[in-house]
This record gives sequence, C-alpha cells and structure tokens, in this order.
Amino acid sequence: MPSATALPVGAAAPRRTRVQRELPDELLEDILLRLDDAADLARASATYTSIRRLITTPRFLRRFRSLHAPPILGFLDYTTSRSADFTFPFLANKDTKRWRVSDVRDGCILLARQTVMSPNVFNTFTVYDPLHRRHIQIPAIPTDLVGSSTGKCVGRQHRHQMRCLSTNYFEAFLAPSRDDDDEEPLTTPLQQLMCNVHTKHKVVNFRYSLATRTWRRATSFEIETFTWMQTSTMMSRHYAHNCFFWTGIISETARVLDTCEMKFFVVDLPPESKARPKAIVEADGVNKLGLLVIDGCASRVCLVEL
Amino acid sequence: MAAPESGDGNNGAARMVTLISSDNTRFEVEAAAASLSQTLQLTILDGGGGGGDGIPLPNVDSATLSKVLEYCIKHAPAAANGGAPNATAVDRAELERFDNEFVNIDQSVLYSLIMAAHNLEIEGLQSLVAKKVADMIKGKSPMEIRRTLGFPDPTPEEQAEMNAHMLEYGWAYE
Repeated sequence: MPSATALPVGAAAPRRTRVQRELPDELLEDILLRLDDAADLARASATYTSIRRLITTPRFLRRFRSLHAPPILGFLDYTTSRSADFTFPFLANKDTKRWRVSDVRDGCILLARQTVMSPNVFNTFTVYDPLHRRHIQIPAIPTDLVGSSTGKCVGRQHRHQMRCLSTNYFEAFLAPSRDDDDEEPLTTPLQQLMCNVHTKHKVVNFRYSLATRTWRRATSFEIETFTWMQTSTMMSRHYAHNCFFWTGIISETARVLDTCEMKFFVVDLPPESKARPKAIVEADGVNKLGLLVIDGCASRVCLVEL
Repeated sequence: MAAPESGDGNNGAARMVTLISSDNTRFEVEAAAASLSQTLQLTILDGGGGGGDGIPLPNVDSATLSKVLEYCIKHAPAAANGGAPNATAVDRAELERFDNEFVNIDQSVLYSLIMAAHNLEIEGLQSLVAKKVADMIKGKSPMEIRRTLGFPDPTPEEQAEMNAHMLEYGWAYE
C-alpha cells in the first residue's frame, strides 16, 4: 500500500553532501549563545565570514548580552590597558582641555566639548570605545531646537539665544539601547546618546538618532519651584530596568525617565532614605527596584525594595 | 543493521511506528519515543508510520538515526511524565549521566546529530549537542574553532584576515 500520509519529515532542505557542510544560522546561533566568555565569542568571530556576520548583528549581540550580562564592575589591568587606548588619539592637542568625560557605560566613554561661553553648554560630543579604538563624532544640539523646546529665545538672534542657553545646564549621558530599538548600535556596545537640558522651568530630554544623524526633542518635565538642588549637579543618576533615576542626598523623591515610554515622572522614596546617600538598583526578580541606602552612623548599607 | 527494539514488553500494547533512514534501513520504535520529535509527532498523531508503512527520513542516515533513537528511547519516559513527581533525583541523575556519555563521541557524529535534531525538531537533543559543541569551542584558537564547527581550512586570504583579527582583538587571545 502506498503511503497515504503526507510525509514532509526533514524533507524541506535539499540533501547536503559530506563535503559541503555548513551549519545553518539557527544552529550556529544556538551554539554561540552558549559561550559565556566574550573572549570565546571574539575568537569565534575570527574564524569564518558567516560567523562574523552572525555575531556582529545587533540582534545577536542583544541576545548574548541578555543571557550573559557583563559584570557590573570592570577592572583595568595591565593586559586591558595594553589593548585599549586611553590617549584619545582623535583629539587635537590644543583642544584637549575643552573636552570632559561626561559619562561611561558598557565600555564606551562619552566626551563632551564645552563652549567658551559657558562650561555647561556643550557644542559637540564624541562616543569613544577605547578597546576597539573607534569613535563617533556627534554634533551639538541645534541652538534653535534647544530654544524652541525650552520655550525661550524663539526667533531671536543667535547671540541672544546663546546667552539664554548659557543659563541652562546640559547633562549628556549614554543610555543602553532597547531590545525593540532597530537602530544600529552606536559603536560596538549597544547604546544611544541622550542629553537633558535644565532650565529654570523645565527639564527637556533630547535624543540623538544615529539613523537620521539628528537630535530630536524626546520629552520634557515641568519644574514647579526651581532650586539648584534639582539640577543634576546636585543629583546622582542611576539606571535600572529601562529607567533613569535622579535623586540627591536630601531628596525624598526621585525623578524618573522611563526610556521605553519616554516620559518623566516623580516617585516618592521611603522616609528612611532621607538625608542619606542612596542608589537605585535592580533588585532580584523581574522589574523590581531596590534602594541602596548608606547609613553612615550605623556603618551599614541596607536594601529597601521599592 | 541493529533496528532498536523497544517497548520493554511491559504491557506489550505500546504503539509502534517505523522510521526509514536515507539509506533505507527501517527502525521500529515506540510512538512515544519518536514523538520527542515535534516534526514526527504531527505525522504520528495523524496515524502515520504504523503498520507496513514507514516514515521516510531522507535527511538522516541510519548511523545517525540509530543514535537519535537511542536518545529518544532514554528520554521518552521522563518526557511522558512531564517532570511528574515520580521523576526522582536518582532518575534525573541517571539521565544526566546518560547525556554526558551520549555526547562523548566523535565530532563528525556530533555534527550529524545536531543537524538531525534540528531537522526533526528534537529540542532537548539539539540543546544537548549545542552545549557540547560550545564547550568544545571554549578556550580554543580560531583555527581549532573552525575545525570544531566543520569549516574547511582557511584560504591564504582568510588566514590573513584571522591574523589581522588577532592583532585588533589582542585581549581575546591573552
């Protein structure tokens, strides 16, 4: 009796000869995701074009990072410092004093170049990966965009705009790229550049898109009563579960920027954290936040679940 | 060719199916064992593979199929229980010991196994072999990794690229 059942079993792919043996991408990915040391992955990427192509896709890197989170602390040792270049070779010698390190995340350094007029206004940025010795230059946020977004200086002359801007405070920082973000990674690690501009009345968040090579206003937050304590000079920035948190020693609240929703809001912190140095961290479990409070008097650190 | 007999004769009523390898060897196994393959499970649920018919597997040779079925027969009871209470620590330890020995085989067999597991969608077997191959790659040089993954030896241009990579990513070769 001829087979009555349709039997497509394993018949989809044409039969491979023994000579032409190449594992399909799904299998290579399954194998490579099980390597837990980035050095193994780097050596694997040297072996074959198809492996290198697979490993360097943002999708693979994101999956690898989510399965094997890099250690929170990094150590610079002799071998690393030989491989990495911390001399910032792309900066012109006479110009180096104008640049300052604005943020460091996932092995990348964000350098911001200050203007002559005000140390708080940056006119260009560079994201530098010292290990791979690669850098990307990013232009300043256009002054008219800052002006129109902060509600001042619209249509005024450039000099007046700059005077208004110089009373603002610029805070540039790196944010990890989200899983649903299809833009290419900025450099090797996956991140994007953001800048908060603080005025007397609000905080405006700008985000740089590598795809369109432009800055755009992402969101803003109104400030009811302005105090210097609210500016980022007095606040520390923390990142946990796709959110940035800003809080200060005396604060009983934290200002939050949800990078998925791109919205600012404020959360109350437990009273025991008042007047104490604190940090917001990822606690065990999905989406749980912890507040690390340093109690100087009792010499202890306690973790409060938020 | 040793067609695995199974069923252990416990109740003598276990449903059997026949699988036919690419070189036309017939293997008779319990439907429960063959159903570890997601692809085969659908055919078996449709009533295929029984009686005089067999399920042809044109991409799997008899040596590989025999190995695949050895895995399926061993894992079928645990899969049927679905991690039920009678899967004791002893049972699990025994399965782990079996798995470790099972993948302790020649590289070319591992290669055929993972391809078969992928084609037949046997998730546990694919994971087991993928983990083994990953372990074999760990700490190896690019040339050794290349051989482990079954790629041909490099052309002079590829060799030059590998050397350039070594210079650029010095930290990965310390």
